[in-house]
Amino acid sequence: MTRYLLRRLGQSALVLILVTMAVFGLLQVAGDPVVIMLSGTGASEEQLQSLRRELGLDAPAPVRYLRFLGGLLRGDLGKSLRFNQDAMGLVLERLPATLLITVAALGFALAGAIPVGILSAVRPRGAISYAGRVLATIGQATPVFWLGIMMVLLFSVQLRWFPAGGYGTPAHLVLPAVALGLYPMARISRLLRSSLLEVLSQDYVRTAWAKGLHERGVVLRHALKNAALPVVTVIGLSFGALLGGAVVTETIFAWPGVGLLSVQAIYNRDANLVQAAVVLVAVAFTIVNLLVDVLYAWLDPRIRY
Amino acid sequence: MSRRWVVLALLLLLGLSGTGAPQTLPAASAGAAAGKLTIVQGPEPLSMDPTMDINKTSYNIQLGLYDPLIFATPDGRLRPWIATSWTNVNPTTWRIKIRKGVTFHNGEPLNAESVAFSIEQYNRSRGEGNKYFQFIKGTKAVDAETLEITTDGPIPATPTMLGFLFVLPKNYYTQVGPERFGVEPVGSGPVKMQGWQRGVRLVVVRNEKYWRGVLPIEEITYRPAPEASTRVAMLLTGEADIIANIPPEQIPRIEAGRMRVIRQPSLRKLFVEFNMKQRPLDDVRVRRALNHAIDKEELINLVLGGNAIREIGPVPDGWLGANPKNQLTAYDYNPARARQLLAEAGVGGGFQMDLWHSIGRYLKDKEIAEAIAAQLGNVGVRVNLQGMDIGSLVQRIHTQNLSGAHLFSWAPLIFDTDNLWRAHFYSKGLNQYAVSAKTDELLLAGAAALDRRERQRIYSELERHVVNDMVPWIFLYRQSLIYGVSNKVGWLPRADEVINVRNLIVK
Repeated sequence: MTRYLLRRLGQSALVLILVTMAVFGLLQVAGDPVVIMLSGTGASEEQLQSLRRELGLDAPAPVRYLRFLGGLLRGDLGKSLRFNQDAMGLVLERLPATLLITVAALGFALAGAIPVGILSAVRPRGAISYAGRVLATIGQATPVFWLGIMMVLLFSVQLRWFPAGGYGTPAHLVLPAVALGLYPMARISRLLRSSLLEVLSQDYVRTAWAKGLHERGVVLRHALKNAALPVVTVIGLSFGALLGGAVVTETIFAWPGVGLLSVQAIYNRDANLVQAAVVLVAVAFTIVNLLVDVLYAWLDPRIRY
Repeated sequence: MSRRWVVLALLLLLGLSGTGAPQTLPAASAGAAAGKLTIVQGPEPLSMDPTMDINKTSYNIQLGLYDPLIFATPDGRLRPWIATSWTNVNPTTWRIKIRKGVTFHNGEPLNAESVAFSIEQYNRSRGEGNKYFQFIKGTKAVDAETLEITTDGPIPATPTMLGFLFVLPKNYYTQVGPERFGVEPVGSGPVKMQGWQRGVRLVVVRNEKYWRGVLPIEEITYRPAPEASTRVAMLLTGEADIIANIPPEQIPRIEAGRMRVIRQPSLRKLFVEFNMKQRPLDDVRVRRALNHAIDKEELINLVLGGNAIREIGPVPDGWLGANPKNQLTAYDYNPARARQLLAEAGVGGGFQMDLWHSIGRYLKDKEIAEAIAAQLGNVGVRVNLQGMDIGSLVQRIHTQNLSGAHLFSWAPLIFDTDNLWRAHFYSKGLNQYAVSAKTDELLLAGAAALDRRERQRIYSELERHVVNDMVPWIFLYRQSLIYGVSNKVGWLPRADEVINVRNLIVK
């Protein structure tokens, strides 16, 4: 296990290096922040050049990349060009909001998906199974920007139950978490249903029935644990994706997460801030993946590393 | 096993809601109490240090925190403010009298030395404010109430430029440094900083000792909401009292919710800029033809729902250099004339042209580009639309020699015509599409003409040259600003997108 973990950590470091190269390269293609900052102001070429020098943007790209890597090793990703604050600090400041909405959305998704998935596997022709299928289709087919705006119209403007946007109280969390959680809920409930159906037809489950166990014991103790493996994978993937990519939901609900910050940084060509955000999200993603792999071994003792 | 899951999930949720709670501010109770207002703009402010960040979102807040040296309004007028008077001692020296008895929020006195420091700090800045006062070569506080500045050559626009200078507290700024100043600013303005949870809200409270009298509003909260329909929802639910930057299609929702819509013609002009170095656009007849081919009224009425004002020349009304309308060629919609001009230029059979445009930056920019493409199609010009985000477009416009034409825009920060000329018509500026020896010569002559009438003469000649002879643009319109306002707010917006807290009233 220890050797496996070490090897995985080595791989992760390599992935991170590749990620930084990709981000850095893309930012070079995206262009020069100084031009955007001074567009329309009548600035002269000398003024552009002096601002570039001030910001350390006048060195050739490979030199700047090496400087960036050196900073990364010391944990210093430079200052945001626009906020004039430590770039990593700005991203870390948003992390609680991002984690909060990610965990809330996944919590909501699991709270719905696990019972619906189990019940529709146990009673494949029951009412819940059909209702679950309809919900899953809707949940997976509805784009979140539309759903979010509709939820705001209904629950904020018409019913006045929740605020339309913002951050800070539990009431602010409800609409974005539900909007964001609906898609993983639909996906996980379908996946759990099919995976549980498959397990329920296995020999050892029949043995459990034959022992005279209750339905509860058979399904929850024996079948669910084995059916959970693919579900854990999907949860891990969704978690990673939500950490970096809840941009649309964050935009609609004015939620101050990492996604919204990164998009604004991209529009502003705030290179240091974009790099800090991407590095952080990549690290988070890597950790989540590692945790999922460790969780496999815990769920299924046959899996050895 | 299932119990273990539940416990794990609960623990995570608890831990996170702990860290996720606001640390510096109480929960939002926007717009509830009298005397409190919430203003919702699109993007979030980046820095409260005006030498770093001059985006409108931030500038609107800064204008409340600080006082400008001179108060400049978008119609080009100047009012004594922190400076009570300014005179040209000689062509390159200005003597400025500073108001007595003004103090910053922390009690630091505001004097000539504060102003001198502010100019130097702008010029030292690593941010967007760096560019504006480089023309000032020396500052000298003669005594506490007198400042002398020397400029790089005679610059008649100096007082107007100084309308853009916020006066900063020298001691406090030097003590905390730019990074902390950007988050914990101190100014002399009518409001002072209360707290800022970045990305969530920024709260200011009124300065009870403001030298011009105390504001009628106790507290203002600024919140970001990038999505326009969310801003409208926040107005309708009472979470917001003023919402900025509303697209025309959202207007009926606001009116149906019994809130007020305020439309204000802005100084933001839109135009199509040609690449005059390429065939066939190097022929002025072709550029005139394309001007005649565009039905500007249709663009304004059909695409923008009337939320724009047609413009025939680049200089805003009332500004130095603006010509009487009968001095400028208006290029009215006349497709027959357009076809005739194209035929005279030898491209009667039409031609292909790229039209580069932004998506989602200006009012209906993509739809306007499509309408222009259709109208040009009617006279035989086959337009290839090239749409992209504004950052990429600005990059390409300034760093590549973009083919064909681009739908572009300009809005002034400083209300002197010199800025307009340098932004577009100066061969040493960023924009290289509409420059010539003649525009250079006239704009430099105007920039140095200390006599106001002489300056007016030169600039109006330059405007006539640009519109009547050079034709580097299709002159389109100035778009309107659209705000939604709750019934308890009294306010008149400004043409430059500024929300000045000094003009707000709560009913």
